[in-house]
Amino acid sequence: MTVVILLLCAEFIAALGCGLAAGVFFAFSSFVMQGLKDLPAADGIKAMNAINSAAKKPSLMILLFGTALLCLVMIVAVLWLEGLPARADVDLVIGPIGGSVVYLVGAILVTQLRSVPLNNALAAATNADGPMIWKTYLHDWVKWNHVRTVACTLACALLMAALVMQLAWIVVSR
Amino acid sequence: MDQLFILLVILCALGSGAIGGVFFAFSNFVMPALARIAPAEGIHAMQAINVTVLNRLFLGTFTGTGWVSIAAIVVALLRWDGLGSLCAVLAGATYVLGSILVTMRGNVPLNNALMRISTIDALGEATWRGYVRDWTKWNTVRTIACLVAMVLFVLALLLPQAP
Repeated sequence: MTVVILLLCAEFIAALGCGLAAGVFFAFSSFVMQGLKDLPAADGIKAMNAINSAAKKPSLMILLFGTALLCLVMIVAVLWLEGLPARADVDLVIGPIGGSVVYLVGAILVTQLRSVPLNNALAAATNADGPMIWKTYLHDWVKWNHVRTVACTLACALLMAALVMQLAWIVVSR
Repeated sequence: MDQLFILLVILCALGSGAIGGVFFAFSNFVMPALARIAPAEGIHAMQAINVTVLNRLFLGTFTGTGWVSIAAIVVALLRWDGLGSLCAVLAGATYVLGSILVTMRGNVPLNNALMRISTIDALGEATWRGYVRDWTKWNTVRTIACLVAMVLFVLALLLPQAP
C-alpha cells in the first residue's frame, strides 16, 4: 500500500512538473520567438543567446530533469514492482507509463538531441554567419519547441487521468 | 463526480499549468537575461515580446482558462460535493484573481509605460530598470498563483474519491 501511495504522489508531482514545463515551452512557441523574430537579426540572436545562458540555472533544471527522474521511477515502479493495483488493469498502466514515456521522449530527448545542438550553434554564431544560423534556428528550434509543448501537455493530461483512475480503482478494490 | 466537472477541472489544471509555466519562464530566466544585455536591446526585445503576446493562441489560453475556471466554480457550487468542490472554487478564484486581475492591474500598466520609451537616454534606462524590478515582482505573484491554482484543481479531481 505504501508503494501505491508513493506512486500516486510521484504522479501528482510529475503532473505538476509536466504542466509547468509545457508552459515554459508554450511561451516560446506562442509569442517569445515571434517577438525576437521581429527584431533585427543581430539583436534577436543576442537576446536568445542571453536567454539560453540564463536558462541554465538550478530551478529550471530541477523542473525539467526532476520531472524526468520521477517519470523513470514511475515506469520502474509500475513495471517491476509486484502487488501494485496498477498492474491489475491495463487501463491503469497506460496513464503513468504513457505519460512518462511521452515526457521523456517528447521533452527530454527532443531537448538533448534537437534544441541543445541548435542552441550551441547559435551561441557560436559570428557576424558573418549569424543571419543564416538565426534563420535556420527560428524554423527548426521553434518546430521542435512545438513538439515539446504538445508532449508536455499530453503527458500532464495522461498523468492526471491516471491519478483519477487509480484512486477510483483503489476505492473500488477496498 | 460528474463528467462535466472532471472535464472542466482537467482543462483548468492544464490551462493554469501552462500559463504558470509561461510566467515561471519570465521570472526565472527570460527577464534576468533581458536585464543582462544592453538596456536598449533589452527594451526593444521586451517591447517586441509585448506586441506578439497579443495573439489568439496565448490570449485564448490565458483568458479561456479564466472562463473555464468560472464555469468550474459554478458547477461546483450547483452540485456541491464537499472538499473537492471547495478546492475547485478556491482554485478558480486563485486563477482569476492571482493571474488575470494581477495582469490587468499590475503588469499591463507597466507594459504600457514601457511601450512609451522612445529614446533610450538616462530616463529611459531608469524606466527600464524599474520595469524589470516591478514587472518581475508581479510576474512572480502570477507564477505562484497559477501553481497554487493548479495544485488545487488537481486536488479537486482527487479528493472526492479519496478513501
